Amino acid sequence: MFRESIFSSFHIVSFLIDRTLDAEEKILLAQSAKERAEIVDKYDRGGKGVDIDPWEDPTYEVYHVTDRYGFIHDKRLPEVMSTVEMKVAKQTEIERKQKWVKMCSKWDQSYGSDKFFKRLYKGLPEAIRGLVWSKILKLNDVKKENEGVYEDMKQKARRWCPDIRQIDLDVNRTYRNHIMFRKRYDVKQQSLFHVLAAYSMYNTEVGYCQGMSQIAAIMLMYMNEEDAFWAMSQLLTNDRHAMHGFFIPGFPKLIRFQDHHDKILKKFLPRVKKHLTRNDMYTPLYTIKWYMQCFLDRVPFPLAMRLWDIYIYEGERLLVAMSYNIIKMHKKRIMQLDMDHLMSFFQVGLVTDFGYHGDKVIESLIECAEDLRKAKMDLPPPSTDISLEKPTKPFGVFEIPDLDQVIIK
Amino acid sequence: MSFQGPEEYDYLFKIVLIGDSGVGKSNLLSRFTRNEFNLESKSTIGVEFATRSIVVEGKKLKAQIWDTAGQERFRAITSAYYRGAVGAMLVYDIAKHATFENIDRWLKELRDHADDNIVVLLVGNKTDLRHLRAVMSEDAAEYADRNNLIFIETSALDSTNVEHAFQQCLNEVYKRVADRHFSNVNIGQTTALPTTNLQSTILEKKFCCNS
Repeated sequence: MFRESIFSSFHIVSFLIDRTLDAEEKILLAQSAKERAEIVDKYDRGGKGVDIDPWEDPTYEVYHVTDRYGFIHDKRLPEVMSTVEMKVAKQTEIERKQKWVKMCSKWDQSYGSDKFFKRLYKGLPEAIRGLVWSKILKLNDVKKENEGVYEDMKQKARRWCPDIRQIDLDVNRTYRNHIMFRKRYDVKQQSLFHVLAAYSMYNTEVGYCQGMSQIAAIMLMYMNEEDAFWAMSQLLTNDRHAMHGFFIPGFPKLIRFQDHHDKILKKFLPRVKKHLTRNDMYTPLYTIKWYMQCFLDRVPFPLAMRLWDIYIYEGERLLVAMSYNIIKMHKKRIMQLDMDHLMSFFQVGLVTDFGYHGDKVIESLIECAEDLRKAKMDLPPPSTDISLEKPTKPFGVFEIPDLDQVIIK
Repeated sequence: MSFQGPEEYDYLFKIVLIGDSGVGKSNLLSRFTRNEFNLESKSTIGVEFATRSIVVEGKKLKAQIWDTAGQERFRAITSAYYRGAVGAMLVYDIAKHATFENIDRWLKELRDHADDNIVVLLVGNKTDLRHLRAVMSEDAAEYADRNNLIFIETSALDSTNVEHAFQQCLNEVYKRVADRHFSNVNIGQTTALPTTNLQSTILEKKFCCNS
């Protein structure tokens, strides 16, 4: 089976690059084709008959408890509420859901209204999150305009994707503590694998960059595979989010946002900034996941989802305001920490326990956004050269492959 | 709330963990600093670090270990953190030959961005995967010999040799410092004074000057 596909790869590549391949190139190409086929095959089989090392597949133990988002905890659930509180929370969730169902049915009138805005900032009900995100991101329109494209990219990825090894490595390490992604090569891991591989073929300038797997995974928690693909596509390349610039080599947008964060601290929190600098805690050290993943893995999941609700609607200005908000809300604590403790505070402390109730955080976030807007600092100055951060190549066009583009990196 | 300030130590040594994605750098770090191995570990984006202090010849050495993303694209970010490092652990996966083949490139990265006198360990991780071994110890040992690296095999999962690997790295760094291997570094003066972050920075900076 492999021999045939390798042979045809030679043939196609030779044909496309319009010259005969030398022996070394043929070996590299053959190796890539073999490795790619083997990886793809494991997902196709859903892990059946595949040797899975014990560490790759943590067995589901009975004492684990799954929370309402699907995350598995070792002992008891965090933030345990009393039965009365739980009842109230459940009731509120049901009421909110009904309100959202109604708003979704008259989308054009409600979208962007005061009520919409207010309710969004309260956090979307779990059951309706995927639907509202899809509507805001206009996934139906995009899908209609691009019929068949996802399937096409998925098929091409099986054959050509140069990022397949990295994608495979990262699928194995993405939300493995979540019930959907728990089992190696299981259905949702297959979807994650295919969405990322297909996207790397669709947007070849980005390909696959670490950090994207978490984003694709949360989309897959709330929507189906094809929708998740187009949601990724929208987040990376629409005007509101334009995450493309965060992930392309050189990370130009990341640097621009980090510089701007520095300016905000200098203006609004100069003492904190001095303290951070004195302790060698520079912005690039603690903000990468804030921007690249919109706070995933850096704040508790329920709060991250509330931020994502706002991010999907507001776009990149949420990243600016929330980064400022984190430092502002925790300034007292930050002033008491030295370099080592600052690092663990940003890496582990905040995601374990943010220290404030979600509603308080959002309230403060709104104030921060207002402060920044008044100071005309709600967004960083635009990139001097637009082509640095924006896609320059057409999407989904399979160009004549460079050998570099098909050999696994 | 009490001030969580710097703890006392005689030396601060910055160590970097580098190598291909998925070779187990983060788990080596967590095994050494917290004696933990995380089956649900996440890929490292950018850089992170953790610290642990050990005592060598009566001196307290604080190791500040920097963990880096393995994907090539991130080298633009991570290589900036090689500055001031006195030790490096170049990690590959004994079950994946490609990660060993790439050691050359990582070594070049170090030569380009780190101090010339940096102590380099070649670390073959995941020895628990015996049945999948793809890199022979002899080959790696020979490679290490040729390139003046200290060679060790570890398993962050069952914790074989992890402690030993870091100890060896720190010992070697300490030896070079104590032997005044670094002619420009005035170690005696540094240790005689009470330690602060600033002092360690001086130490690191002097370390750099030697290049």
